Formats: sequence, C-alpha cells, structure tokens
Amino acid sequence: MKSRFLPAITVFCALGLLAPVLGALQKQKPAAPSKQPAQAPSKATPKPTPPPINPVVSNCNITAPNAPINSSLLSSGLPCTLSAIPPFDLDNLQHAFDFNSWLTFLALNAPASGGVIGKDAPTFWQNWAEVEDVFLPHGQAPRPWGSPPIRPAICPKGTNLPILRMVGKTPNVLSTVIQPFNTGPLIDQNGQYVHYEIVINQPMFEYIVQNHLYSQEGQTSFPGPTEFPEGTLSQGQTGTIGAIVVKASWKVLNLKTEKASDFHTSKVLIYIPPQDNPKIQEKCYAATVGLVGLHIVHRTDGEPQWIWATFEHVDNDPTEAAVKANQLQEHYNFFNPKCSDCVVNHQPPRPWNPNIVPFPKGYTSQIVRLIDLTDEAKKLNTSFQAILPDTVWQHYMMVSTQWPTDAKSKIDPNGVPAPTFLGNSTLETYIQGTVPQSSSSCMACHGNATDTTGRPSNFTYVLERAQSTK
Amino acid sequence: MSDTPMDLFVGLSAVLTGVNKTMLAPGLDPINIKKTYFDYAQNKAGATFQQLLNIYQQNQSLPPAQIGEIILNKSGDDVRYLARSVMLMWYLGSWYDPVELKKYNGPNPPTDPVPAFAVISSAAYTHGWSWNVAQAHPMGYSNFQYGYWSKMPPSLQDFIGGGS
Repeated sequence: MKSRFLPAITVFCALGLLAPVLGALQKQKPAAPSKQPAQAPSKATPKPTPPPINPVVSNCNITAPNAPINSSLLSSGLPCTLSAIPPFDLDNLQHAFDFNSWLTFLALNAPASGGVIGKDAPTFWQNWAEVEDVFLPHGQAPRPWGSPPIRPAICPKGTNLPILRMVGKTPNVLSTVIQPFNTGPLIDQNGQYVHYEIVINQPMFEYIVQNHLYSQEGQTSFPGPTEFPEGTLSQGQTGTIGAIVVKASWKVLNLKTEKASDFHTSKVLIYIPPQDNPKIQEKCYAATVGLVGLHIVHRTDGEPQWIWATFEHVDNDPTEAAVKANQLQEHYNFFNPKCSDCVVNHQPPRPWNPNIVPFPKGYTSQIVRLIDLTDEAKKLNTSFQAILPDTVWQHYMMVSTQWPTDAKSKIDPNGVPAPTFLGNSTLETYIQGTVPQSSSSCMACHGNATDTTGRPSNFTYVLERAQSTK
Repeated sequence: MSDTPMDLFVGLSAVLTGVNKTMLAPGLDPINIKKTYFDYAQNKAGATFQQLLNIYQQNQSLPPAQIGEIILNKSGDDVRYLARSVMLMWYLGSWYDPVELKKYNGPNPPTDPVPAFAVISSAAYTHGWSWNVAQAHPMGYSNFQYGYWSKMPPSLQDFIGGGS
C-alpha cells in the first residue's frame, strides 16, 4: 500500500500548482537508461539513439481523490500513478481509482492541438499509434513514433482522415467488427455496425519497437519477461507516465436524425479488410462517427496488472432494472424501448458482413446493461459531468475501474481484482455478467494473454498480432 | 470494542478450518465470500448458528484446540454438526445440512457415499479452500497464467497462510 499513501503536504502543493493539461503528456525530459535496452542494430551504419522508453516527466497530476471537483481539474493533467489517501479500505480505494480514471479521461480527451478538454476536437489519444501500424505484415519494423497511419491502397487519396480498421477488438476479419472471443458485432439503432480501434502511447510503442516485439522472431529472441513500462511518482510531480492502451468504440452517426453535439465525433475513413469465408469485399469509405465506448488501461508501479477504466456514452442502453421497471428513455444507441419481443444481449444473425448496411431485415442490437453502476460511481459521474457543461463530454460516464487489491499475490497473478467483473456494453457486449471465467473481467481475461511464443505478455493481447519476417 | 457477528464468524471459521483469519477475510476483500457464507449459514441454521457464535465468543481467548474440543465434543449434536457444516462450507463451497451429516454417524448410516449438498454460489465453488490446500484450482477455473501447468505451484504457505 505504500504507493497509495500521498503525504498531505504533497497534496496541498499539488492543488496550488496545477499543471497544464498536456504538461504530463508532452513535456518529457531524458530518463535514466531503460532496464531493458534496445538490442544492438545489425547494420553497419550507426542509427540515431532511440528515445527513452519511459522518460521522466516533471508534472504528473497528483491531485488527491478528496479534492473538490471543480473546473480546475480540467487542466490538472495526467496522473502518472494512483494518488490515494487513508483509510485504505475497499470503498475508499475504489473511489481513489475512479477519481483517477476521471482525471485520466479529462487529460486524454483534451484536444491534441492543445488546451483543456471541452471542444469537440481530435483528442490527445487519437494521435497515438494504432496497433495495425505497429504489427505490420511480414513483421516489418513500425515507422517512427508520430508517423501518419498507414493507409490501405483502396482508401481515398488526398485526405488525412484517421482510419477505423476494426469492427471488433480481436484481430482477424471480422476483427474489424467483432468483439472478444468472436462473440459478434454490435449493431446500432440505425442498423450500422459499431467500429473499433486500439491505440497505444509512446512508452508502450517504444518498448515494443526497441525490444523488437513487433515481429515473431523478435519475440522469440527477446529474453523476457515482458514488463511494459510503469507509471511512477518519484518526488513531487516528477515521475514517469508508463504504458497506456486506449480502446475505443464508435458508432456511425446519421446526422439527419442524431445530434452530433451529443457525441465526441470524428470524421474518419472506415476500412473493411477483405475476407474469403464468408466472402467480404475490401472497402474504404468516409463517415462521421460518434464515440460510444472507451477503455483506458494504464500500467503503474502499484498496479502491475494495470488499472482498467471504462467509459460509455450515457445513452447506450438501459439497465436490467430499468427495463423491468419500464423506466426507459425514449432513445438509446443500442436498445429499442418500443420492442417488447426483441431478444436482449444476443449476437446478430449471421452472416456478418459490415459492407451490407443497414443490417438486413431491419435488425438492430437490443442491449441491456447487466451490472448497474454503483451509487458512488453515479455520484462521481454527476460531479464530473457538471464541470463539462455545454460540451460533448458531459454525455459520457465512467462505468467503473478495475484494480488489483493484492497486486503481489502469489496465488492470483491477476491481483484479486476489484470489482471482480467489469465490462463495457459496447466492447464486451455479449459477455456481461458475473459468471467466473465466462463473464467479462478485464484482468482475469487479459491475465491469459501471451505473445506468439506462448509467453505471458503482461496483460495485453496486442503482441499476438506479430507476424513472421519469413 | 466488541466483536461484530462477522468478526466472531471469521474467528470461529479460522479455528474450524485452521486457515489464518487474514486469509479467510483479507483486509481488501472484493469477493467477500465470508458474507456469502455467513448469510447462508444464518439462513439455514439461525438459532443454532447464533449459539455456535456465542460459544466461540465465550471461549475465543482459549487455544484453538480447546475451542475446537468445546464446540465439537461438549456442546451437543446440533452445534457439533453445524460446526462441521461450516467447515465443509469453507473447504468445499457447498452446504451439507447438519441433519444429513448426523445421519452418517448414526446407527444406520446412509448407503450413499456422499450426503446431499448444494453448491452455494459460483464464487463459492471457485473459492473452496480444498483447492488451496491441494495447491491446485477448481476444475474449469484458474487464475494462473498460460503455461502454469508446466511449473511447480506456489508453496502451501502461499496458499493457506500460517494457520489461525
């Protein structure tokens, strides 16, 4: 618990010296040599020195979880690790993690062009590296950090729109529209497929690149264990950011019937990769999409199993209790309140072809949230939404944050997560619930992740995407 | 400060199972199986369950073996067999009714090798202490990471702690 204690004086100072929102994100200075340096390049010509994997930053957000929730938090920056205050009981720590999740949400959803969260603009995390640009065909090395996305040849030229290449979280086909364990795509009330993306921040990117984990051969020669960089706090606001993964789900907006001002929007190219069985034609087209789900996953020194925060659009779907009580809104993104005989939380009928939209026969997903938010989470959401008035961001809510209660447990490498189960109704739609080894638990699922050699891959499945150089 | 009923239940359970209190009821306990078991036992055996807790409360300062002797041999059959049910609940995650258990010690024990039982919950199934004592995991559920089966399990000490 040592890392969860923040001396009161430190908290006091932090409240007086609020860092610019992008400070912890952008102002980085060289760090001490990494514990796992890059392998020596084989070419004769000297290569430029790679950037530090997890550089020291001087303005981590160390706002304590009992700080007042007001507009000053909008510019408080990115937490490098958890700030918590006693008592370290389950409820108080859950609050600290949830508060940390909201601070992280505010920081990462600030405009990439600068300033604090507010206007609907490309966010800081939308400039991170997409996993499709890290794990390339034939195990090629990724292009340097900051390079534009690699554009499939079929996509329109002369545009710099970002590309959504996933129709699901898992890599293959219907990868682009299908969720974990091939559980199926999610279809909104307009009959449109939900699209997904996974991006990683620079410390995670550099760790993969400098350890050659982007190819199967690189993973084979890597001595291991795979330990992604951690967010740390050394003194004051000095620390390191550590590895962060963001997974986002987007719905295609019908701007004639849906208000763009209700969503964080993005103009994108939607890319559908070709597939043979069933036959799906390659396609790429422009669309305006609205954010409906967001995982933010952060590895920190006190939480080597990572911190798993998840957010959703407030209008995604009703809870089971609301359905039973018939206390329904007029409209949801993934639930039709007028349909009494729609089967809930069921995958769409096959075949699944994201090129055929709207989904045939008028089908739309009928999704119900099986685990309601806690009262504490609802209160926290209300408080944070109140400091985001008249912005698209007031339409988002934190579902919960999963964290390890016993990070050093020798008999549970998942660290005995709290809450035991956690899912996002747009990202783990069909595996919601409370059945062990079956329902969604971020850590219990990702604890099984390996790289292409079968070695545990530190709670991320991205390494299994690596291809062979042969 | 007086003990809460849950404090007494955890203390009693540590005596009956031989597992450290801090392992049965960790300080940070998101699963909170102790509450599941407490509620289940109270629902099934209300008055006798309270009697069992009272006996533990009155004797908790004694060495565990003496407390066990009092509960299992000097407090009557109702308490004795309920204590066995509590033991089985912690180890197997299932409820064996004390009345059923008693039959197996009677003059005409049932021919069925195993008394009727009910699995208390999915969490109870995965958190039965028998798996920890065996340094193993329940069928169909493991927290260990890919490839664990090719390695030695953690020590028994890691699994069950240092006793009550």
